[in-house]
Amino acid sequence: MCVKPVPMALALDADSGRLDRSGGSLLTGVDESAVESALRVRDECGGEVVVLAMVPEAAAEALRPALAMGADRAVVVTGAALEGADLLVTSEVLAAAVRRLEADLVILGASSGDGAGALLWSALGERLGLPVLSRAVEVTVAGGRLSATRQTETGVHAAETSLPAVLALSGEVCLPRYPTFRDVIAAKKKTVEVLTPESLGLAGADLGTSGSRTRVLAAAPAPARGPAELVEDDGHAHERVVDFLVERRLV
Amino acid sequence: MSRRALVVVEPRSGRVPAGQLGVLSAAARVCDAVEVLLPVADGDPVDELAGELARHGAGAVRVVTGLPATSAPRVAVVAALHAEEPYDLVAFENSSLSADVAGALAVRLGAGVCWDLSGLDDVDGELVGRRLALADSTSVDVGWVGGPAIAIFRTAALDAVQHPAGDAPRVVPVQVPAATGPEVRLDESPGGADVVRSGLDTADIVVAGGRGLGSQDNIALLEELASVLGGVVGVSMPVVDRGWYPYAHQVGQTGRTVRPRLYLACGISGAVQHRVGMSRSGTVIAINTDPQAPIFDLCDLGVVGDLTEVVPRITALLRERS
Amino acid sequence: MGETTTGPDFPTLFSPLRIRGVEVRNRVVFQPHFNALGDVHGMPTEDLTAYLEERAWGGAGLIVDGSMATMPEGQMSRKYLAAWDPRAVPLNRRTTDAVHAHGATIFAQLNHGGHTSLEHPPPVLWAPTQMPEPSSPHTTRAMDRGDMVRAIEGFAVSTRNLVAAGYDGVEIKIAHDGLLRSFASPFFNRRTDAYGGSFENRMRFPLECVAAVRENLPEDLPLGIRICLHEYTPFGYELDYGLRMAEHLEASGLVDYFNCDAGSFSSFWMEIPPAAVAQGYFRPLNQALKKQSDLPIVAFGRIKDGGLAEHMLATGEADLVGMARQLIADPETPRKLAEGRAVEVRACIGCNDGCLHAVAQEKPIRCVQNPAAGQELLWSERLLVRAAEPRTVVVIGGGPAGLKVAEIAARRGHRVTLFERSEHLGGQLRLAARQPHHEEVAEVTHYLEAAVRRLGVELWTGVEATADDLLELEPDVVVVATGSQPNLPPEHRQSHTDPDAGALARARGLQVLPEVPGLELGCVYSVDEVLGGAELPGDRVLVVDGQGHWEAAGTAEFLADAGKQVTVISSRPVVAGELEGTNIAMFLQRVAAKGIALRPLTTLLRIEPGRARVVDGVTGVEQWLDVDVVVPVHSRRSREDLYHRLCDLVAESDREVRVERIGDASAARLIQTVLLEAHQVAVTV
Repeated sequence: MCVKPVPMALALDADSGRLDRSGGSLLTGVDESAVESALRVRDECGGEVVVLAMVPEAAAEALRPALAMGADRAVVVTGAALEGADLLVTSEVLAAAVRRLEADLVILGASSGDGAGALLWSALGERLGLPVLSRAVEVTVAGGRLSATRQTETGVHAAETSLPAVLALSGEVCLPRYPTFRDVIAAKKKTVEVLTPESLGLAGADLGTSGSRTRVLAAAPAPARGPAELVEDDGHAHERVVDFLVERRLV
Repeated sequence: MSRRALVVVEPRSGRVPAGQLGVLSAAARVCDAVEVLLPVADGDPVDELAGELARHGAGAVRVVTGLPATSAPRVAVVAALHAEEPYDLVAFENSSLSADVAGALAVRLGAGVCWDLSGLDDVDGELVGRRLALADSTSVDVGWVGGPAIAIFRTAALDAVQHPAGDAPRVVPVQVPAATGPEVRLDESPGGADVVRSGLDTADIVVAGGRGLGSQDNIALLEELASVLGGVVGVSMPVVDRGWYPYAHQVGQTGRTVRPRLYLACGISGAVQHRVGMSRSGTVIAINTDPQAPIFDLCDLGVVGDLTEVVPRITALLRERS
Repeated sequence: MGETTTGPDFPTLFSPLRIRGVEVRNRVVFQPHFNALGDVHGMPTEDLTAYLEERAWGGAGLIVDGSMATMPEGQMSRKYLAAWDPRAVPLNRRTTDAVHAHGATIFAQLNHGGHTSLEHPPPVLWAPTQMPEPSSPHTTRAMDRGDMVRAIEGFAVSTRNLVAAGYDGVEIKIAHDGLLRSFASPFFNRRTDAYGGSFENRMRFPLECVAAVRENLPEDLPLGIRICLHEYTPFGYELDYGLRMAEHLEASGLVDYFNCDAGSFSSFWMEIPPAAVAQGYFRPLNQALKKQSDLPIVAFGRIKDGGLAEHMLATGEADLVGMARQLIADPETPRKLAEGRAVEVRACIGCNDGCLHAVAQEKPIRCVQNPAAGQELLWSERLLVRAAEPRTVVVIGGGPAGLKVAEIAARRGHRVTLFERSEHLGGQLRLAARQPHHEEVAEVTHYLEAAVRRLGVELWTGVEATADDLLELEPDVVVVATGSQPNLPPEHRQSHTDPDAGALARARGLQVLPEVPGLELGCVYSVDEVLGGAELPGDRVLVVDGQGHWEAAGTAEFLADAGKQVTVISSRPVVAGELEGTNIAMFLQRVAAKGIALRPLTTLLRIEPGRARVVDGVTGVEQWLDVDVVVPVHSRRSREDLYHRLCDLVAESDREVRVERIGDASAARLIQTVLLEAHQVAVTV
């Protein structure tokens, strides 16, 4: 059977739900893991790997390393209307793109366990009507089924579902391959396809901030880090450390 | 106007964790009627659990038995309850499962989700969530447009507060819904070891070591502490340069930028190249023999001492207390 | 332009401070130091003006120009500025105007060289009592009262000239070199007249000089003292005495601030401490003086980190923070800190290779990290112009040369792509930083890597470029910075992990292999292997120092620290003889402590398993040394095959591609020349 996986390597800023590329043009380790996982599925099962991200147009170059690693195509969804998009808007736009790409497997890299990224895959699954397998650390695709080892608070467990499906990885789950020089040259010659909300048939829809169902009312610096409490280790400093962890609810 | 809430809990080993009771207490403080969705397994002490929930503000407990630990059936149950009589607030404590449920539920109900909350208030008749963002450096007030408001609270962020009202809750059974689409099958036997390669980017707790480790062998001390705390080991550049630990674990300008809730810096002097990678961490604890080390200027608790002595004692004490 | 604003992260550092009648805009002081940018007549050159102006432009609050000599007999070098000479006034005015134009304050430091000099041979040296400074073979002339009167007059005349030249204040050196400390010192001053014997008597002459300066300074201009608080010699004074000197000077009411200092010519590694001395090592000295004094205190001693500087000021251990080398390495340090760009600061690596090494030989100051230092008029980053036409620049190699060329080309607006075949950027610097006391070398890479990422250079690590495919990238310029490898025979193990890149060059007669028999043996380990963590087959290691720099010396220390029994031989009269003075001094101290055996004037003849044949350069006697491992450190060979192949391909094609090779790929060298070369290539793209 032929699988046509469409991984999405998304590193989402926890606050805006948007890809944060301010720090440079490279993919994060999480992104690379997602691409690598997709490539392995393709190498096993055949098909095509498409890298998809919702980014400002200027950040489209960020996807080029994924092309060098071996992704077949790179697609960005971009548009001023997407500024300030929340979970509902982001999942709607991405779902439209995934439908357009007719993906059998959507892979997301998770950059944060607590932020919007942790909600996106299930929102996307819901939009697409697909089962969601989250927090995966090992992935196998065979016989039209997706199996994964999941790692959650309760431990490490096996899980499986049928394709098509949405798969969310838990951090950097595999070592990404290095491209060869020829791969890089080939990647530099490819174009990154650009989709817009309009081209996805979402023109006129409530997008960006206007379509968002949450809002930020106020933001202020949290109380600054006060002067440090310093203790000399007289053989009992560890007790203070543990008490401190308890006081701050960190254990 | 009367405000209705549903709090979704997940009992563990026959008890509702304190953090989830905290979420319930917070909901009860700002809502007039609070229901709890309580999934139980055969043999769970339902009456006892319901009593506990009532003491923390639950007016009604909706008990569902034999629900698989996957998100789809939970989404279906909550959506069905909401369709019967709409909720103004659906609240969870954060977990892998509740995040999966909330994300899908948001789409199904067309509702907004605010996540990682550590407080909930009523301000002039509106619900306001309190969230610490950017590694707790910024305090953000968030609100919802329309309803219901879906809220995910930070783990163990809220105190469980006993409710003055009753201890005789209404216990209402709920049916497990029939599957409507492809299902995820879970093997729920007890799990094995951590298999994530680095996990730095997503870690809540980072136990980091620097040149002060003195030798590669001492990294084991960090690994042990990290495993007790449920954290990940990070290292400074000199450690990677010496070949003591993989680059994937390097924190700093030429490594990763991390924003964990707890950053434990052991034998790290705190050069600027390292600081840019961790300065936005929540709580910082530093252990260093040099009282002049710059790291002591940006920590919350500093221990002047030898990490090879202090770290194993912390690990041992944590083990003892758990 | 020159203004700096209060940075949120460094509120104290960027608050102004009033010293007597002069307001300094922030707390960063460019410390006085000999930069050898005077001409041979002691006149400041345009290079000197540009050197100080650059630091004012970069945001320093106070610049202290000097030292300057107060009279011909006290001029420690021909290039020491001649403050007594009226011909210097208009030239110094050029400097003060340039510094003032950027909003900075400028003082001048006055010094009489006394018993210390950089000249070979030195002119007559003046001292309170006739004796050589213990680190020098040259004895001194014991001053008579007439000499003292002339010396005092020298301070007075010089002060008037400085005021005329527009300086905002004068600092007097009673510090690590010069006449005035020798008068204050119980070791150097054995006089029995009114200028020796008691503490008060020893301080009398320095105070007379201070008074002469004060008398000639306008009322509102401050007078400071650079004071050596601790001589760090077995025979010299320590902190308690230094504090007593300060107390006495302060009690005179003539002094407006203190600038802290330590060391002497006999402990010159503590004057200008290299990286082996911890950052902030001298803080207890600053703290002690601050505690007893009511005057503003300038802290000193390898302070390069903005966070540390702010901390020292905020906690009240000093009022100003002195930085010499940090501002040599990055003149823009204050501005970057003030603008929230602390991560862009290029840190001093404490190597002393560019600054101290040059000026100790009376050569113009240079800096490993900053190619423009001392030659701002040629290479200042302020002179970078945006390219009229952005070019496609492909850089092969992510070591210091490749990174530097990428940085500067990207700053000029070119499209730069860089390929590095290993997983990490930094090249050999990553290995160099593993040597003991060399962690800070890595800051060269830190800076460059952060810069190229910030500038949007397209970086491909783990990707080995090949000449055959390169032109497909349609580059306008290809810069080959592929580095070098140990020059070992192709049969050596190194070829398994680092494929021999010299085959083409050797076939063309451009490279030769070294002719020592046995270099291909398994017991021969390259420095790259050793520092890379190779497991060595035995404990007796022979390091062959054919370079004289850290490559052998630091590797010997690395091995000794790992418990090996290390012998270092060198054909030359001194092992590690190319090292800068403070570095070799501290290296030799450590060699003794670590039990490393040094055999200078000894040459390696051949290697057999378990032993090495050497010959004594004086007697000609040959000898077998029993050793398990030999680490030969002779000149590395360029990885230049890619360059030659690429040149051939370009010649065959009809494309116009400029191909440059830089760094070790051109010839293996020290970082300083490599970075300058990269900068020079990048500005011509």
